Order: sequence, then structure tokens, then C-alpha cells
Amino acid sequence: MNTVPLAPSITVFKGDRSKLENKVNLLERIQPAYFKGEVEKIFKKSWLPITSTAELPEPGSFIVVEVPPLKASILVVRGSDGEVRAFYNICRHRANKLEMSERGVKKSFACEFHGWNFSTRGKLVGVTDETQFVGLDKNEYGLIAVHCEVWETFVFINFDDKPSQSLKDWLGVMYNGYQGFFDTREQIAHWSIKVKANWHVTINAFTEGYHSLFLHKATLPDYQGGNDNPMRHRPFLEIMEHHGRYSAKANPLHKMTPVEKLCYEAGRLMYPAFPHIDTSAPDFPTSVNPGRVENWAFDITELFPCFVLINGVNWHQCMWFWPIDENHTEIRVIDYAYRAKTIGDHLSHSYFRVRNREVFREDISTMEAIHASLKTGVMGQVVLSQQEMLLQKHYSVAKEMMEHTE
Amino acid sequence: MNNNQVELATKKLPAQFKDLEHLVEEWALPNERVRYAKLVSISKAHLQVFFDEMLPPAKSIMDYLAPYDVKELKGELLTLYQLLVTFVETAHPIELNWSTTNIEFSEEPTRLNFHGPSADH
Repeated sequence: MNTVPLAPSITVFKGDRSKLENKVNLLERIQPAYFKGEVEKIFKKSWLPITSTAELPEPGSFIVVEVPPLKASILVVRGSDGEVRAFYNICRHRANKLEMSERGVKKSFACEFHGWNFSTRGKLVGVTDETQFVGLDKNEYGLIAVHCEVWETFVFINFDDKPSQSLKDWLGVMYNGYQGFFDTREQIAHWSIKVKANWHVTINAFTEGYHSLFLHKATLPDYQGGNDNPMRHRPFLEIMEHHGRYSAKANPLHKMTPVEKLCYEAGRLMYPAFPHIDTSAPDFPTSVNPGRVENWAFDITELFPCFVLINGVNWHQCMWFWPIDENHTEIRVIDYAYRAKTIGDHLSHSYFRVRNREVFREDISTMEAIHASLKTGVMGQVVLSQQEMLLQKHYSVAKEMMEHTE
Repeated sequence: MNNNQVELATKKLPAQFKDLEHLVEEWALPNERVRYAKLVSISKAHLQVFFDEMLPPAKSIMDYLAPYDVKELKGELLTLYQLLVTFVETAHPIELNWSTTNIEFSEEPTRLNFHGPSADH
């Protein structure tokens, strides 16, 4: 395959582009059989972020996360020994759903059906009327574990029997690139929506900035761009083995609205206003503004297959695009911001989350229409600009996993 | 802010802001979920009246509330804070010159689900 040549732009491209294609067939990807293959070859073989350590502050803290492509309910718990583990949320007696609440703190997990009891480390510690189970060895009936690793504040799981890569290798250069960047944040917003659209279509809406000038003209009229970058080209874009990322450049001419100014002067500047910070210091995390671009606004990183991280100076956003089936996706969004101390900080959070929510809703607005168009079968192939290179990356990684995964 | 505080809000405001009390019933709303539901259910003209009345005193409300910890707010102070946050979270359609209070071509607004902090405060 010949590498697609680069056209002139301000973008600094980094990484191996040799496997990328600028034409992608989406029609084949919305077929039921293809999706079944993706579950086996992509979702069961990838490291998947599912929650944050902020949900698990103390021994016994737990959260139950539904993972739609696997139709699995996963119990993530910080054990009495402080370790974070993930288990299928299934009682080992008769396969009832073990933990019914979404989050909390417990010393052990008792099944409502017959009272079997499991420790926070997943061991079966109590069987009611135990003498009636002939020859039962409790050691054989601990909760079924899922591979689980913590990176920064993110908890990842892997459904593979034997993951082919460690999480460290899976994340590559990003593994040591954030160094506590997310530690001092608090959750300030959490939304979800189910859409009638294929998961590829949904995640594709968030990994290019080409659309921002058009789709977001009402919500973000001037946050990027400016006289020297009218088409809002990405200043930096990087293709990695599985993942991809780019940075966006702030428009120095951005005009704050009166309420935006009121809030951000009382708290801290957040999107769509961007504080100037020096990211060139040697100890500044290497994956934050990785291209060290001037007038840096934020980074967008796709962690393959279905997670997008957007991070600015005082905030970050986690987005999941969980396929339910080939025609439906559940999108979950959690916004984090610097920890609020004052009323002004809270107002900054409020202003940010709402401006951000409306932009998110605009992004959703194209998905169902695209999916419906694809379903007609009239147009199966889409063509991608080099500013949409993260989509090219997404499909090349997906294709490789579909063709080469055992 | 926590769930218990919702019950602690009153219909009254501190003396300095008495002339805004007629806004309380409709606009002092406790969390993002209900503020969003309110926003997408009203006309821009209706929102404009609220915005125009809140913009001039907004800074003095902020200054008045500044010494307090949000988690400790109750009674009139909590009501005042909720009124101010509703203003902050509904200002964008006016300030960005939208034609309505909703984004164009949006998904059915009621399909968006609010959890955690978006449902609590």
C-alpha cells in the first residue's frame, strides 16, 4: 500500500502513516455478522477503560459498570488490601446478578438469592446452609476475575483470557506521559444517551476538528481559528500503534461573553477560554500538549477502540462509545475539573459543563442521520481529509485487529 | 451542595436582593437536570426576561455569596445561589444569539440522561 502524501498545512504529523487509507467502507461495518466479529476480535482483545479510581476511594468501595458490547455487568472493587480488582458481577452459586446497587462501600457482597457471600477480594467466604452442599470446595467458587489494571486515575479491564500486551505496552508513549495530571480533579458532570447509530459513527464525531467551524458555529463561534488559522487545522496530530491524538490551538482573539467572563474571572479559565500556560518546562507531562504547540487549547486522544479523552488545563472529559449492537450505541460522558474551593470555582464549573454539554449535543445531532443514510446502502464509502487522520487511524487499527486477531 | 440542601432552600432571598424574590419559584432550580429541562421547554423571549433581570445584579450576588462554602449553604443563601446558577447555566442561548433556547437539529432533548453531579447540583 502506498502512503497517502501530505498536503500543505500547519499540522505537524507524527507517527507511521503507511497503513492509513483515506477512503473507508462503513457499510460493511454496520452488518450484524461484522459486529459479532468486532466483539470477539476487538472488544474482547483490547484494554478498556471503564471507571476512575475516584469512584474507589477506600477499601470496600465499589462500582458496577455495564459493558454493553460484552453484555457484561462488571463489579470493580477496591479490596481490603487496597488493590483494585474487577469481577463479573455474577454469584457463583446459580449465576444471579450479585451486586444490585450501582456504587457504594461494603465489607463483603452477599447474593440476594441464597445469601452466598464474597469478600472484597473476590473470595467466596460464606455459604449459607453449607453442609447441604456435598464436597463443596469454597476455593473453587470465588468471583470470576477480569484482568484489571490501574493507570493514573483510570481503571482498565481486558476480557481476553491472556492479554497479548500489558496495559503499559498497549498505551505506549502515553503510559508515562501524564504523571499525576488527573489527580487533583473532581467530577462535575455526567450524561448519557443511547443513539441509533453504529459505534464507529459515534466516536468519529469526536476525533476530528474539521467540523467545529460548521457544526459548532452557534456554540463555539471563535474558540479556535483566528486570522492565521481560519480552517482550524490541528497544529499537531500523532498516530500511534493503537491510539491517536491531536492538539487544538486557541484563538487569541476569542471574545468572552459577559457571563463567561463573570464566571471565569471568579474561578479559573475553562473551555471555550484557554489560559496561557508554559508547557515547555522539562517536568511538564509529556502527553499534555504533546507537540508543545503555542496557544495550546486542548488535546483529544482516542484510546482505541471506544474511548475519547479530551484534556485542557483545568478540565478533562472522558467519553465512552459503547456499542450495544451494530445499530445502537450508548454514549457516556463524564466531565472533570480542578477541585472547587470557592463559589467562583463552582460557577466556573457550571458555565463550563453547560457550554460543553451543548457542544456535545450538537455532535450527537449528526449520528442518527449518518447511520440512517448508511443503512440505505446507497453510499457505503466515506472519504477523509488529512485533518480527519484520527479516523483513518481508527479504521486501520480496527481492520488490522479484525484480520489478524486469533 | 448535596441532596439534603434541596429541602433547605426557601422562597425568600436576603434583604439586599428582595426585588428578585418573584423569580425564585420559577428559576431557583436545584440541579443541572432540572435547569436543562427548564431551558429546553421555554421560549427565548421568556428566557430573555429572566436574563435581563439577572445580569445587572449577578456580580453583586457573586460577591455576596463569596465568603460562604457551597456545601454549607442553606435557606435564603442557598436559594440565592440556585437562582444565580440557573442564570449561569441558561445564559448561552441569549449570549450566543441563538434563535431558540435549544440547539438546532438537536436530538429529542428529553433523551439525555443526567447522573451523579449533573443530577445532584
